[in-house]
Amino acid sequence: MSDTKLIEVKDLAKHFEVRAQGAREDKALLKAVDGVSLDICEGEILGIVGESGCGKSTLGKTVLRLQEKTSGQVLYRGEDLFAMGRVDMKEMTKNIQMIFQDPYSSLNPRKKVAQIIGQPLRIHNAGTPAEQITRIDHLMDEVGLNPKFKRRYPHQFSGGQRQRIGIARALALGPEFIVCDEAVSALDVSVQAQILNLLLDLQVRHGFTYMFISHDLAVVEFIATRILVMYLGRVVEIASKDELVNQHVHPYTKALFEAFPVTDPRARKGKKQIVMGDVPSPIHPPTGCHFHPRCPYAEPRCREQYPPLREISPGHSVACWVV
Amino acid sequence: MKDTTKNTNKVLLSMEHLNFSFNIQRGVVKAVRDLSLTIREGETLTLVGESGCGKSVTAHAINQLNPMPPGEVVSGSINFKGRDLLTLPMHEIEALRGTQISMIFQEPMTALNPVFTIGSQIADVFMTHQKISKQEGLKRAVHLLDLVKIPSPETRVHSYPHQLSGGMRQRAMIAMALASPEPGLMIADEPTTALDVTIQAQILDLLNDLKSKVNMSILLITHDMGVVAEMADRVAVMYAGRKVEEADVFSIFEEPRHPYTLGLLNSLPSNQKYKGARRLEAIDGTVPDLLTIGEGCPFCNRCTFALPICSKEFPGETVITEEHSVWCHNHKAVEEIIAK
Repeated sequence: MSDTKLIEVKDLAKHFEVRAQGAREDKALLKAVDGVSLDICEGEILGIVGESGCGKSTLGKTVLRLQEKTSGQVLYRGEDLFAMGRVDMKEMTKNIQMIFQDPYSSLNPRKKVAQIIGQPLRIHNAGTPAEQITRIDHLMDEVGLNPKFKRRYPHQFSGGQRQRIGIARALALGPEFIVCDEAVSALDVSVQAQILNLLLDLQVRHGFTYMFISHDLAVVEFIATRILVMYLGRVVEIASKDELVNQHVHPYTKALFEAFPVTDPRARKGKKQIVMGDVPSPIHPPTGCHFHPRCPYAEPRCREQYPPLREISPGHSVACWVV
Repeated sequence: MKDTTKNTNKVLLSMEHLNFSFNIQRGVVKAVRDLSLTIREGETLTLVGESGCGKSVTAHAINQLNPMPPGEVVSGSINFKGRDLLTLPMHEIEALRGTQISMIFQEPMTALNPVFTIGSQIADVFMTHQKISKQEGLKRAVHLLDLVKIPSPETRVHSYPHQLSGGMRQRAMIAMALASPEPGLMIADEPTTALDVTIQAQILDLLNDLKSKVNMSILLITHDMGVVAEMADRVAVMYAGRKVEEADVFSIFEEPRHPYTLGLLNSLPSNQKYKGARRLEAIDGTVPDLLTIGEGCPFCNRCTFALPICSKEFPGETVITEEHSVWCHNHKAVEEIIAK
């Protein structure tokens, strides 16, 4: 890992206009990502955790400019992705790629595996057709698929193998930065372990930088070097893996760790304090700190003002008035 | 700590040598093979395994929710309070479903009827099985919603499913499962899989709390070893239609004897031994196709302990302790690994 910043996200926001639930308003604003800033250094694996609706997938897509931003900036090696024209942006997609959650819906069922993996090569005219075929064989080999299956269709593969196809496609153009959006969440635990090993092997071999999005704390804790916790579109805590796992301070991070089932039946004896209530609607989030209605430590000012993200020790930032 | 070895309670349900198949166009899918289970009063038995291992089919065989055809009970029996469920006429099964065997499903939005309020859906259970009025049914629904800790149950009883959050809907479904006058067995099929972790913790806590309040047994089906660790008294591990290991929860986590159980535990990134490690001990290969599966141990093609005999015949039961059995030809090798 080096200190060169590969990705810099500055105050990024992505809002969606949605139909309001009440009849009085015409439209409501869903602030899926609301002012997120982060850096990702070369060779790093930044884990993003949070519950459904916290904006982690939207963040991943917006960082790659798979959708337009509302405000803010995403810099890749200092270049603003959103300032690029079509041609430059197409060039840029060689460097930044994505692995999707659902290996069933992210592969075109009418295309053969060789066509799916080869599509990025064709779009970017990478090499002669003969070279592309060798490249496809090599890619399949690299992700643990037998190249002799390249004329099969996605439905002829198991979930884990399909995820490997998706990974081979992401690798095709030799990217530097890959966003893994819940890349192992749809898989059975024994297959999940295979894919996690594959992602780590590839990272060592090619020096990839990952943004690893997952709701599964155990997976993120295993794979990431730094962890960011999101709640309703905002960063609540970010720190190195060890610091976040052992010394998390934000009440929401605490709640997440408390709630996560421990795979040790002897650990259940100590009755945990469980955070009550549900995740509020992101359309009308609570005023002030979004977590205050569920927070056992909430103070009056938590209801009024959103706490700024401030550094409490080198590399460890938290957005909370109380800590 | 719960003493799981003492359980001498009466047997509530015993499944004997169940074989369940689906006859589809391409052949016969042997979804469950030679499965025997017992559930005692007041205990939580978890069936754990990966997708396609037959855990849901097993649960649905109990209250006969598997579509038949194509489903078919090839052989076996399921004794519940002295009666064989598989030979009972349908109207008696229906009478049991809402009264002594209740079920909660994975996805509460699809399991609840979207066009009726949750109160009237709960009241329906009372009205079907006991001769009471709708008003009395609604009154009891309020009481049940209160029991499952839904805030302001008097107003929530009039809510439609879409007006509730995912966690609330799951609570409402649990309330409905409790609507039976004499709770016997609650079958929970992946009850928290669709929920966020903070909500999952609330629901699991609720189920444990209810189990001690009303005298019920839980058959919990899950793929998540974390949920198993939180909930189970006893655990049956299934793989490709077969039960491969059964034990109290502590033995499963601490002294597994089947290579698949060991592999499952080693696949967990939360396993203590991976502190600081960068590689998991994954199980290679994939689950076999149930259409073409042979008579041998279904795990033999992925098993690092496999012997020549494993591909030919399925092993018999090896009793390790009174509570712990394993079906493996080479369980001694696993024992040696664990001992290290």
